[in-house]
Amino acid sequence: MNPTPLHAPAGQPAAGVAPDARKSHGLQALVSSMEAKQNLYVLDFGGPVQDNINFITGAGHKLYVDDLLASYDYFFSPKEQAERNFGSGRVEAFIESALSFEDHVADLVLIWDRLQYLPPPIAEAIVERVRRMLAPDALLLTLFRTDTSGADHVPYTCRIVDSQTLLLNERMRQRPMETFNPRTIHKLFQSYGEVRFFVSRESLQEVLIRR
Amino acid sequence: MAYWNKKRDEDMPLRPEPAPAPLTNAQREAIPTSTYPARRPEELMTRSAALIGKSIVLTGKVSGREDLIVDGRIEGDIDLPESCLTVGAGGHIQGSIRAREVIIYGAVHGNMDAVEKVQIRRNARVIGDMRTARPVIEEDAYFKGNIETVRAETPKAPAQRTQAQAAEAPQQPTLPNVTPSAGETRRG
Repeated sequence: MNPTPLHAPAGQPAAGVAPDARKSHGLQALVSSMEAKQNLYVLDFGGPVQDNINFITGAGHKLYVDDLLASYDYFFSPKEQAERNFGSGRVEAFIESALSFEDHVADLVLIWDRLQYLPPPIAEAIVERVRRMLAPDALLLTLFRTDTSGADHVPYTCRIVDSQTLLLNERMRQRPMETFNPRTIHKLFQSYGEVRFFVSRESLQEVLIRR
Repeated sequence: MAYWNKKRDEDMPLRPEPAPAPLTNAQREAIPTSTYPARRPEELMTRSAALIGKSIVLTGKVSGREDLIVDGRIEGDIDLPESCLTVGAGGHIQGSIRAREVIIYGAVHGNMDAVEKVQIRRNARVIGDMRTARPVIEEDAYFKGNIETVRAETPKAPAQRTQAQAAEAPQQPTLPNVTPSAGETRRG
């Protein structure tokens, strides 16, 4: 499948950057927080993307890669996924399996748009576990689509082009998408210290959360 | 019955074969000839890779100094510090890997330490940490684990060292990684 750019560029991309790339103020804020720091531990839950690996490890940081959606598909049976009825202890077992990290080890977490494609009990459990994994004042970057027309959507493959530019491709299969608005996002991250929204002209909300 | 038919065939007198006609020059040129004898056996040995076939299941530590292709299953650590390990599409490794280069088309469950490069190809499935100079993961591959990049060390040629340096410093290994004792592997 050919990658399909969803959004027109919000800002002027740098010279040499793909024309379907978009400026990301959330990424820009995240990267500026990384400046002059080395050996950070970055967790990327959007799956392996070569550009992201190069960007993060090239800056001297250690990277953990996983795709929360792939872990979810692997752990839960199709029946459980279809019925969204998770038996006793299953959510906790999934969290232990997918996020088996010690407390306060992560300096940055990239969840991208993955929370929106997980059932609410799973997403809430992930958010709480990630809060424990994050070091004090560490940051978490998430994306939420605000175009909720239609039940299913294709999750993004988020590619870091440079410190302020993202390329969003739709390469995965369609999945049911949960609806979020600023109020429900605030509620989801109510146990965190700070939630910053980056206004975008497109139907995409970038949210940078500080532990 | 087949046995009797066979017996009768054997009893039949052989029909005399006509003598083959001598080949023309054009016919001689059309005959494909193998280049195998022209190659030196040493060259073949160094250029080829050892192969663990589809139906092979191997349990235990694997170590060596030649390239290895795994299409079967290995349950144990692999130590090929000078060589390239290729895990084929049907290959499965359950254990840690140390090699110069690792190329994965199949499945690996274990940590990898490659001086030069780890390539995880499309549709491969890898769970484990990797430590290498060049991590390459193709789209549609599944990877779960830590990635730590290390600077690729180039071995110092012994001829470039002066006699004085050689006398002062202890002998350096020609490879960046010293082979660990049995069972010991570096974890990422």
